[in-house]
Amino acid sequence: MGSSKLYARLRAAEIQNELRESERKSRSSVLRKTALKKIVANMTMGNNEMVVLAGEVLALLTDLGQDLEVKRLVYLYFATYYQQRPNECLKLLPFLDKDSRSPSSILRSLSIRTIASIPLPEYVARASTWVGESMFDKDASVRKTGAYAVSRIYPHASEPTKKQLLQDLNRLLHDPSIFVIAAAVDCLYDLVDNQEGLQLSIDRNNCFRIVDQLPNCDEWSQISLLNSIMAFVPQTEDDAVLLVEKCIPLLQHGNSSVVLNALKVIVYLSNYIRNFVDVLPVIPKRVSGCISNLMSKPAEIQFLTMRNVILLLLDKAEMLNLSVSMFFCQFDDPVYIKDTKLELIFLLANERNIDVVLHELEEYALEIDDQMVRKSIRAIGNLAIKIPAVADRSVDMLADLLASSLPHIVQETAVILKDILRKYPGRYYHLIEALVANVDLLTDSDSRGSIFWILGEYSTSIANSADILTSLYQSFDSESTQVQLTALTAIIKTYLGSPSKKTETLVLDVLRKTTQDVDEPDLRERGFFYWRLLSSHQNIKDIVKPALPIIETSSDKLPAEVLEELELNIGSLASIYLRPTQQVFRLAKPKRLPVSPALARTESRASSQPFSEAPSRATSSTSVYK
Amino acid sequence: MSLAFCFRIYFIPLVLSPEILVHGCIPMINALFVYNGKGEVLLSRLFRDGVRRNVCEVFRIQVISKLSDIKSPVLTLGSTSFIHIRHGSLWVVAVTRSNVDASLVFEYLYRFLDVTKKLIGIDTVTESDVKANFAVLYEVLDETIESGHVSNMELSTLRPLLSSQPADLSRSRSNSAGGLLARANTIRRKSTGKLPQLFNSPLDLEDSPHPWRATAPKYKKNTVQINVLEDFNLLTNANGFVLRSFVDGRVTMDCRLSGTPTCSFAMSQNVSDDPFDGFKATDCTFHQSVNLKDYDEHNLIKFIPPDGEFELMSYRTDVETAPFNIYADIEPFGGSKLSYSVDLESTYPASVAASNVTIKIPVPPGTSRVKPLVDIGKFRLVEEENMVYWQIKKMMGHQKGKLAFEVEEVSTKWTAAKPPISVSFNLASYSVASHKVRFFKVKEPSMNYATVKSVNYASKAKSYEIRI
Repeated sequence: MGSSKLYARLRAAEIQNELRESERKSRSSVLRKTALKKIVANMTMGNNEMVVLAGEVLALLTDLGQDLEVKRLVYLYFATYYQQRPNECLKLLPFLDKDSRSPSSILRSLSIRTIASIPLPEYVARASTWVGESMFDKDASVRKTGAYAVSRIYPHASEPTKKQLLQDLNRLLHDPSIFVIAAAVDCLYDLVDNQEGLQLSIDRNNCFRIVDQLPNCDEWSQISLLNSIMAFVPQTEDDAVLLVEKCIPLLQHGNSSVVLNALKVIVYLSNYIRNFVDVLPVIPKRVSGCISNLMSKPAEIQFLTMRNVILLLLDKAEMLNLSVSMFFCQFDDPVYIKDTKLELIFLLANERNIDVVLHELEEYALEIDDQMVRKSIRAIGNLAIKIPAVADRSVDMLADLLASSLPHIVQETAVILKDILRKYPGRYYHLIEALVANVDLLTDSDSRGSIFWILGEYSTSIANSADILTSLYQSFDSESTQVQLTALTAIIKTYLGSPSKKTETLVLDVLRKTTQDVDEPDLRERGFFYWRLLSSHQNIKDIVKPALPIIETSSDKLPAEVLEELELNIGSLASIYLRPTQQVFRLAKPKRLPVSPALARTESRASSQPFSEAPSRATSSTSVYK
Repeated sequence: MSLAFCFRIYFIPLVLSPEILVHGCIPMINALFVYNGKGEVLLSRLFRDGVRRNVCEVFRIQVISKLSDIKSPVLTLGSTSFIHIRHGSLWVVAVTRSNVDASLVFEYLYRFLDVTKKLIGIDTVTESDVKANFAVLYEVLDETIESGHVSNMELSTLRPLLSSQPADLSRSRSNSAGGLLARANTIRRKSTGKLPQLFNSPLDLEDSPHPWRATAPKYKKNTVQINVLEDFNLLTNANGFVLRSFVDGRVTMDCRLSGTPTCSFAMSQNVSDDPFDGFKATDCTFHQSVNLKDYDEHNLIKFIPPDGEFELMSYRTDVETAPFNIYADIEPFGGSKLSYSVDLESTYPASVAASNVTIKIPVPPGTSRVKPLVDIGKFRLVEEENMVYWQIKKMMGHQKGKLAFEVEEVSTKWTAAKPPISVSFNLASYSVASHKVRFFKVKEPSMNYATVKSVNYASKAKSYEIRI
């Protein structure tokens, strides 16, 4: 049978014709099955004309229902179109009824799955009984399907039924088959997550029994069971240590999800162990080992892994012992991998590996991709701010790069330079000169704003700042508002720093322009503000040019409570965005570390960060270096 | 075996719930779509309420139609997230409405492709494969995602649940072992009659403590084929300093063993005599059948294998000597010209031969004519890629080669952003990381049989880059 023909867009009438003709032919069942496949293929493509064929599809089921493949396709058809064809859909019920009593477990599962996926009132009425019965089935795979089906029918069920379903699920937690238990756990979590007023807890004995079962079950059940450990609150440190020890071998599992979920459990439990790494000295080696394994998985999994490594580096760096070269970029890495690797290189840089790191960043700074160039320049500059001991080397490298006179490099250096100058007052003025030499290349507003700011702030230290300012000022009218504001302030600062004929004309001109020609209210206001200040004849230097606080990179850190919640969500979507869960998913329930006598961190956090309330919760930037 | 579990479910009135909820993330997939390169839907399956079928349009418009690079494998719009991977021109996309466990979703998407490949018996899945086999694939989705939760995904337990026959076997490549296996299985299945699986005895997993081995098959001849496959990765900077040099290796097996045997396996690096020495590293991962506790405590790789093909383990080992030493010297001379001189030396033993060694050397854009001096292999200028290909069909160990040529340098800017030299090669019967399988023992508690074992080594380059 031609494969692509199935996906040819057909009209309903054409298929009706085909079905009618095929009835007269000898191989009619094969031909009719092909017609059914065409219907489902068209349905997949979104050809909603297929809705009108409900009657024909039903007839196909009546005649060819012995064929499981036909049956599945028909059920899929009705699970898709039940809303548009409720009447035909009702005629399906007898078939489902028959299947639910079939000797084949495959059919019994299939009927349960189908009835749970069609929320018509007649279906819902029966579904709760059937699903309830299926959870008593003699075959474990049917019980599993039954458990999962509860999560679909629960929202539609009546109150007494809900109670009954919960009881049945609870009973399945004692099931002899471990994957049925895992299914029940999954489903209970599902209900807890989506329904108000439910809570799941697990006591010590059961938690340890689950952990002992971990090696004996399949990988997907392992994930469910690992998640159930997250519902256990260790009351003593010893319990937590025991559990962590049982989870450590799972870090070597081939399934990346098992690995990350095991890591999540370990990180969760580490909060209940004082001096975690001293108690379990193997941890850094094992965790780093599992990360290096995950880094040879497909790009998407690498990406997820690296986002979580960032998270751990921000809060639990002691658990890691990573070599920075693991995160060096490959030429053909996707953009999102390169970006994340760059962040990690920045975070992992220290005095010992700085030579390798700077060399690597220089390599990226000379790449073709301008985004990559900008980010690596920013990283080099931020390294200078982050680690004072390497500031000289970083700045030297920036100076070397500036010599290349490539536009992206010069622009980005201009942006980062103002932070470096603020961090190290009185040093690195030679970079300003190198920048000024390339002032023509500063064409984007970020870098122009930055150079204006530098000229104003350090006017007294730059030989001919007034001249440079004058030439930059020529294009004042075409600048963006932000740059105009910065330029205005810079000119006032320069005038106050070195009053001269030249700077005075500049001031007069800019004040005239801003107060008379400009329509932008902010700019006008600021113009008038400076005008009034200047005419007050007082010493206004301290107002216009106050001593600046010294900046630190650590101000970019995420707030402690956000880190705490993200660590409970390792491997989840929120861990990719590195943002508070509720910011990404409005309906998500918040997660917090539950308090117990063993909890090691609440008080220590509170004491180390007495002002933790004050910082803004604005974590809009997902990047740790800005 | 009965376990006395007692989870408790509490009903907590909304107003009185000061307690804080703690739980893991729920791996729930609301829908799954497969698109072709043009954004046409090839498979579309909803698993939960909460998304509508036309949500697939959103992804097509927001991601596929935009011809730019993929900015992230995850796209969240409102509270709907699209988690996607690419395979050739295909897009496989899971849609979720909550903060799902992304690791599980990615793992599932890749596993879904794997299962598809193995079922059809091909190495890469194309649009026409999906179209020809869509009924089977819908069945796979049906059986592997229950109400949005990933459940059973092991091929050996999955296969008996499927009724459709994979179509279009003509496309399966005969040289792939997976293809052969899949074909053999279909042939077996075909002979069982018209409705092969419908009334077969139900799959009874209840008493099986190892869900990946559902049945205890019988073979006339018990065989194990072990493959040690290594992908070599190297990154050096322009001064020849090695930034990274390692092997991504995997051990795959095709076990055709009767009963429920317990196998033990050991592999080591040639340099050491201790059979477990090479594998003290933590950088390896194992198939779910391997008892991780045994490995952790005694360094023993013990397992009850699934029937047929599977990947026993994967590992990552640092490698000190690369299979090739390459020295590239690019010097400007005579004004605007560049002179290239590339020395190549193979470092593996003289008895081993590499095939299809290709070294791609970047040249400035616009280069149209090159006169090479080359002592082995062939030389080709690929103008559209701005690359010179130096291809050597067969290269013995400890052999040397030299290539020299000159080009007109077109722009000076080029030196700032040139791609690296990249190398590809195939080494049959050789492990780049010098690994050797030390033993493979089979022990079946109730049967006593001899097992025919064979080991096959193969290495190739994955990302072999020399910056210049």
